[in-house]
Amino acid sequence: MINDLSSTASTLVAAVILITIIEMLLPSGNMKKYVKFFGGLILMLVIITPIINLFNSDIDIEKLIEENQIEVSNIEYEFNESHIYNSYNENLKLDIIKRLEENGYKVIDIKMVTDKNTYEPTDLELLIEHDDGDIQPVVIDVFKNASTELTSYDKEIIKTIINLNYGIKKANIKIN
Amino acid sequence: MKKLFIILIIMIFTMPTAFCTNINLSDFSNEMKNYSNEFFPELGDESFITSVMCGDVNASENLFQKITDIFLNEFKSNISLVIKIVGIAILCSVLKNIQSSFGESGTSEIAFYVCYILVVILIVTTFANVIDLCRDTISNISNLMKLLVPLIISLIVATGNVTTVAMLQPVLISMIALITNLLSNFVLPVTFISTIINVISNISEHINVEKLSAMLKKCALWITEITLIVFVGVLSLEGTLSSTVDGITAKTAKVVVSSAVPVVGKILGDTVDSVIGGVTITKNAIGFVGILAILAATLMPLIKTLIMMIIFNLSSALIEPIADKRIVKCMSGVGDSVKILFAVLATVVFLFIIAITFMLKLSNTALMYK
Repeated sequence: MINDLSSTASTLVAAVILITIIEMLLPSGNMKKYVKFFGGLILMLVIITPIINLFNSDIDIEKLIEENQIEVSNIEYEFNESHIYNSYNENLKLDIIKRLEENGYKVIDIKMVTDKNTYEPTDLELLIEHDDGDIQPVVIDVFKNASTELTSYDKEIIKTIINLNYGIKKANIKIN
Repeated sequence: MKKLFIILIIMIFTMPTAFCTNINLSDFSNEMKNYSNEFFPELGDESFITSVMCGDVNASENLFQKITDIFLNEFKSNISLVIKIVGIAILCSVLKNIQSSFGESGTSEIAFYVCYILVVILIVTTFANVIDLCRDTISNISNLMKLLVPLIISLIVATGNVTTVAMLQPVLISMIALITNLLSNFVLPVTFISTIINVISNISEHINVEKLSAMLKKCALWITEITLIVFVGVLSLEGTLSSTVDGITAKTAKVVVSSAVPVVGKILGDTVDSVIGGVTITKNAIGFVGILAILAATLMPLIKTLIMMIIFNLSSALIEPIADKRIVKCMSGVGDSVKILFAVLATVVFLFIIAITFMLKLSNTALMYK
């Protein structure tokens, strides 16, 4: 046991001397205090290691760090994945809206379903405002007989635009 | 009456037997010669032991005078260390002041480090010497006790206190081994490690591991104190019970013998009494000489350690006004550690003297019942 203690003591001595040298060599600036902080963390780790070894001899600090690293990188990967997926969806929707606006159709609401793995849009639902200068946004519904109905010609145009530019099948596009 | 007599005979024959060495006084005095030095020069003489037995204790003359003389001599020989350290500290502070007038802060740090390294080299070599001295002393004392304890125990058996021996012997021998091992192989290295950590925590101003060093020192002190308390407690508890039993057993045996055996009973009883008395006197004398031997073996190291402690604290006090505070902290930390070493050594001496005195006293109480 006393050999353990003396080996941790020599590790501590080596760590302190190393950190002192690094501190000395650093030019003064913003990084200095962060380096000091991390040096202190390393020292604390060195002091804690034998205590943990005393109580639980199968805990290995390095293994703990590795496992946590794997978990953190997994979480990162998942987050990045969903983040990419979401931002792709958003950007695609904005693009569709802009393109339809250029052609004179204002979109009120857009719902899109994208395949998670191939990132291809499969279903699209559009709510178009009929652009003839009316102030009120008109909701096109089957049961209404307003004259601001979207003609099927308009719908064909929209569908063609979207099909040509985004590769969505015309059958999967619903326009209201 | 007859039944009681038979029972007593059976008891005497089935009692646990302790070993009995052949007590040869010249062997003992030869061994003691190893421990005689300037404090107790007459330790190895057989005549001294016999005179102690007669109650004529003429232990070393002018003991106090000798102690003071040696104290001053050691102090003078170690004063050179103080002078070196003070010189280096003055140099360091001069260098620092010159550097600050030039402006660069990095070079003054390096000047400080050089002086610090010099001081640390001086301190650590001296400290290592002190620790080696302590370790050697503890092993010396342990050897002395291994010699004394069987001797005194066999004498105690000869005076008839078998129960005391049966209870005392395992406790004593295991305690001696445990204490010397614990103190020499655990407390001393822990103190050394604490000193080293104290030294490195003063290298840089921002990195501080002082509390770790303080914790280790407290740990070492606690362990010494706890061993002291446990040892004395166990001894006194175990001893008091058994000595009473022994006294009453002996008295009963004497009464039975003197009244049961028809003609020579009384004479027999009284003869045994005087023989036991004589053996008790021998045992006490040998125990007393043993205590003197312990003192002789440890007085010198105790004085040396005490002087080292004084020297470290003195130099730290001397350089405090002028030197960098890190050097001062380092030195006072080392002085603290030497104080702990002194405490450990004093504990060991104290413990063993108490052990021997206890053994003697316990076997003497049995005589009280006569």
